[in-house]
Amino acid sequence: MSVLPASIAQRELLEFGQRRRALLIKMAFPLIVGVPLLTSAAPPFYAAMALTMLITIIGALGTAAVLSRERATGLQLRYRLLPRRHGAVILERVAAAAAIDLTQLSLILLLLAARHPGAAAWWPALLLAAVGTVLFANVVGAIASTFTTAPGEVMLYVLLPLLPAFFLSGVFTPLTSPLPRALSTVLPMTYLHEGLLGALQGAPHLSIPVVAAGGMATIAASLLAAFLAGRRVLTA
Amino acid sequence: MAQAALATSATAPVSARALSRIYRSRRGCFEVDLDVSTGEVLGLMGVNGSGKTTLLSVLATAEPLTSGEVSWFGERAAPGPALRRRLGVVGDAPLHFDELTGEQNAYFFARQYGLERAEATARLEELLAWCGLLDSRDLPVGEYSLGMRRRLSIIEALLHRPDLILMDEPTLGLDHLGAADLAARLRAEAERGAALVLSTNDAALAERVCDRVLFMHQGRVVSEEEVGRAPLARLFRRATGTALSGARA
Repeated sequence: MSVLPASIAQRELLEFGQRRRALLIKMAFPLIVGVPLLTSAAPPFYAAMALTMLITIIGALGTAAVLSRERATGLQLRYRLLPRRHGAVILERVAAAAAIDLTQLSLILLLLAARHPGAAAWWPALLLAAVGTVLFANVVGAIASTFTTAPGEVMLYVLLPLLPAFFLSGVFTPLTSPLPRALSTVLPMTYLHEGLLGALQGAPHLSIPVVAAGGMATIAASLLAAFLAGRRVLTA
Repeated sequence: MAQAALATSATAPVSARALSRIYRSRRGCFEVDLDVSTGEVLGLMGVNGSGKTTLLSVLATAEPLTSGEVSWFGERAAPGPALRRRLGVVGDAPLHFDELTGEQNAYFFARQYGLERAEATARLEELLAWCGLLDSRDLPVGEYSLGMRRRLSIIEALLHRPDLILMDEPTLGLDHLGAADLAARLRAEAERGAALVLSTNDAALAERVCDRVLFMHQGRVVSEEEVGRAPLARLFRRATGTALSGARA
């Protein structure tokens, strides 16, 4: 007797669990980038930069590739015909995909905590910022999938908005001009990067409450964006 | 004129007036009028590219209209979850989550269409047995043959006892026994009170199941016939100018 999925989230998690080889690769992938960064003497600013990019791109690419493949094969039609609001369908899918991404990233976050126990005060804020960024990245991936005609195109459409967003979040270099600094306040990666800097015992510019508030605002905004994007994602 | 006509079929499971769905290639379906009553089975027949699948897609709410009007159960509002819950759709390609088993796929759709756990399980048991998929219920769908996938799609469309059933080439990939079982089942669904629209070029199925047939050619309905008045293969050739593949004229 197999486990029977009743909801979209259960179906996604079940499928994730049943694909053993993919599961193994998915769990190992962040470690390949993260372990050398966290076990070496990499400067916190650059370690935070690499981890911010890793976390964001994992979230965006995974969802974009899955949705793009479903568009190409026609499977998306099955979702479109479900007796549910399109926004609710995409919201649930994004939330489930983000949960899987966070599971994938959990080993890196645990390693980070183990290596820098003195920065424990940052962990709750970092976790909120990570959840927010992963949700945001999944929404970006879902929207990016609507521009693609094949899964091979997702890299382009995902990186096109994300690369300037990384720059404007102060991930590559600290922001000094007023306009980029103002823009950075609405970009989730700002809070993730700052949270990572704090947890890596670097020199963050934002305080713990600001990073936590930014993370929470990102979670709320991303969930709303997922709901609003539902129709476009399922019918484009 | 169109509004008046729609008003007369206010309670019909599906009615369309001057329905057009036109793609960028200028193909699609054009100016289609149809009414399907409760308990009626309407067939759509025509050569490949005649617009049957496009018409079914619009009726299934999968595609928007380019122009014209469609009403479902007397409602002309934009299709939403309440309407989709009353539809059972089998598309031209049987699409599933290949990593999951047949039972997991069907159970997922049963629950999404509002069946409670006990009802979903009981209904699934009944339909898997009817379809001959009980023994392969625990196999991943990726290992299913085309016919098994098709049967699973049919199960998924019927699980929630829909009021309007829309099927695109439902016998494609089925063996003779499977097609005969399906015909009997579809008649039973009509007797239960469901309305059915079937796109098919299987004259045997259409003659066993359909009450009326619309013949389509180049996106338009060119003829409408009651089933039983003459062999469908002959009517098909007269309406479309093409012989029905594999049929006796």
